[in-house]
Amino acid sequence: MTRTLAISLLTLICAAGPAAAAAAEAEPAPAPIQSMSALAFGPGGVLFIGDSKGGAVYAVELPERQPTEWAEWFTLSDVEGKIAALLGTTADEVMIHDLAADPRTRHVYLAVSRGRGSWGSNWMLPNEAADATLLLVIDGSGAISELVLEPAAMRRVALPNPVDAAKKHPWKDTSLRAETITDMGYDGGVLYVAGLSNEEFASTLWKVPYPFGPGVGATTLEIYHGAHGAFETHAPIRTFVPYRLRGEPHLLAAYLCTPFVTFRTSELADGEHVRGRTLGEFGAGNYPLDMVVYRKDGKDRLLIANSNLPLMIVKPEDIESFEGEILEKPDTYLAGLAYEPRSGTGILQLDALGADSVVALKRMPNGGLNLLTVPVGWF
Amino acid sequence: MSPPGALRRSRLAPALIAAALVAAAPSLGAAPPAPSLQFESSPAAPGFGTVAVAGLDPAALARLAASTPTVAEWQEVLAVRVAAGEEVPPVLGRYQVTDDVVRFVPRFPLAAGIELDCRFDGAAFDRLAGPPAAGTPTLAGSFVMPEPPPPAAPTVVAVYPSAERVPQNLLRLYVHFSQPMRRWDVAERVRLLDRAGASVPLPFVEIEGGLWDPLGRRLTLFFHPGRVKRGVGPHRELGPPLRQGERYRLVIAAGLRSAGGGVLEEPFIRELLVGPPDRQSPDPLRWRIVPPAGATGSLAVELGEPLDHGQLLRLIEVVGDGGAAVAGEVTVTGGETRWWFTPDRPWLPGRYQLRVDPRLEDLAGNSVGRRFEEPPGSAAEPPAAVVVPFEVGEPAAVRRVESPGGVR
Repeated sequence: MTRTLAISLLTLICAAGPAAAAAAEAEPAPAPIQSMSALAFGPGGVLFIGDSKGGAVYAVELPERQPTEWAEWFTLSDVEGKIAALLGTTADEVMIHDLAADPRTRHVYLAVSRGRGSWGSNWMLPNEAADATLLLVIDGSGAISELVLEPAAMRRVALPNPVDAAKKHPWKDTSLRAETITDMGYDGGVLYVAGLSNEEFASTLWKVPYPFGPGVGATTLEIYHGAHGAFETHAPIRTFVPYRLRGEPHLLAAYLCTPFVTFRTSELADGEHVRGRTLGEFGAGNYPLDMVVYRKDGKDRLLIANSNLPLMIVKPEDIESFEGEILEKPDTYLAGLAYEPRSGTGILQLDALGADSVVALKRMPNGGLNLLTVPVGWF
Repeated sequence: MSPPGALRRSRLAPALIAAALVAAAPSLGAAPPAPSLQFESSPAAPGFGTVAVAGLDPAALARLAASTPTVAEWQEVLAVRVAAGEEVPPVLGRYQVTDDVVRFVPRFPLAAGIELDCRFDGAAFDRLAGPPAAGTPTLAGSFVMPEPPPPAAPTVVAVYPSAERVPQNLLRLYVHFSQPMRRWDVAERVRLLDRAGASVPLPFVEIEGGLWDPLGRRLTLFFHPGRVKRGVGPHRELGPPLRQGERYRLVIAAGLRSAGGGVLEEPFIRELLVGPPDRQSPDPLRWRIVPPAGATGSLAVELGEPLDHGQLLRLIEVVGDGGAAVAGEVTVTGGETRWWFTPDRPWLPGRYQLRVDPRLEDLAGNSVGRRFEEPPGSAAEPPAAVVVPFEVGEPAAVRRVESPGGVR
């Protein structure tokens, strides 16, 4: 889950692409969710659930809840162990696929699976190893409960042409279908959905109008990956946020082995093939996992959690002032835009928790997975 | 979320199905049923892993069920918690009511070794069932999910080539296991020993995690082709892995684990006697076709030499006169020198073909289409298929067609 704090306050009329192919319409009686692959919040407290296996996105009207309060520095230790108690199993059988915090009530939602499936490659991600079928809620006291999804409270929209389940990842030997949806973000009447489609250029960005209706647009993406010295179209965006650069709506995105890329959302029209602008190479052998925009001392900052690198802070003004783009293989794995590394490795999930703090799941040195809140003033 | 009052912990033996009575109920009528807390601990039983309270007042239970309690209300009545040494929420599940029994069915199978603290709150039951229910006792107990039986030990069920004698330039060994195996600890546990018992250095291509079929039941050991092939660097520097006239032993060490956690208990040893090298391609046009004994009999093909076991199962097909493949079952016997085909439906008289994929190899990697050591550019482009015609007559008798077969 990635989201901007600042953008959610803005009302902006999105320059919607020519939705020529009205491929999908909201369905009144939704098919059940097969896999909760990604979570994101939208306007009015609507929770979006991306279903890679089902090739669809759901909008869930959550039951009314009183806002919950979190301590400034809150730690809930061994979250997997506590969820295990709920499921009648042990911590090693619990896997958390995504986390999203409700910006209105500050409840934290987790997509969870029981059983770790069959791990093959060490680089498999949770969605490749199992299907999340449980939605859990954590409040500021650390209490965990299940949210049972009522079909009547959900709307579903199918993504046109999701990647075929028979297609395999070239070296993980997993079905690419698990990567239909890698991340989602809402901005200005549009849910942006990143992942893989069945196109030859598989990396795809779907624009889903919300409230759901006809006119889901799909744009295939291409980037120059400096560390590989090549233009690439097969790897999906791992995490992104909608953000305005000099007032113009963009998506800020990061990929495996960590190229940092911007896309102009006005160019993301249905049926187009768009090349992003690679501004940074942040390091190899790393999944960027989540991005959050927070505001401190009157300035926006982009916070990126990584599988194998520290927390990174990127200044939007550095992105805005960056000239040119990376179009040649750099001498090292690092190039372009600079980031500020912060202590914070092992952060597997990250989201904004209201305007003044973030919530994270962090793998601790003792192997336990802790949920913690961090005030943005600390960064 | 927190249970009312501290739960009294009673430690019962894992398989014991029992209850501890916390508060005795005042007796209302004549011989009221005595409720009991039960845990189904037998893996063979239908309700394995469920917790039940039996012996409740059926009328009160029916009233409770009719009021369609929420999950939270059910959890007030019967809460099943993992004994975690700290306060944890009840295990997720559903509640079933039949006659005098309320049963908790966990959402997911409970993990082995999990200890459960179960509490049936008689007062909550009476309150939710409404009058005239009263005096139902409170019950508490602890149960442990039994450990499953240890996983079955895997065994090596076959090694191909299956004949002891192999060519000096043998290219592959296939090791078949009785169940899917864990893929990561192969390199340490597979050895090729010479006559003196010394390990042959680097005989096989080293592939991280080993080369397995998708189910993890067949391990392919590839002799290093650079050492097998004459005239290339590794062959010159290290020599071939196998020497003609020598004996070797393939050893799969005990301890190799199955995917389910079972352990190969005994080392598996397979003798290899090395004969002369084989540098000729298999020639399907010289195979001998043996007619099926009847309309439902099997077609046998004498190959004249052992061929690659795995490829024999998938690279030869029987094709009818119209060009469609005949469905049937393939078996391979005689140390991979004999190929059998049993059709799913009886043979119809007529013309047939064996269609042989030119990728089919012998034990030394010589395929129908090209020899293993074919110098680059010297071989003709391999054909799409080699066809061997044959005929099934009336009654089912097969003879080789006199016209020569060919390549397509």
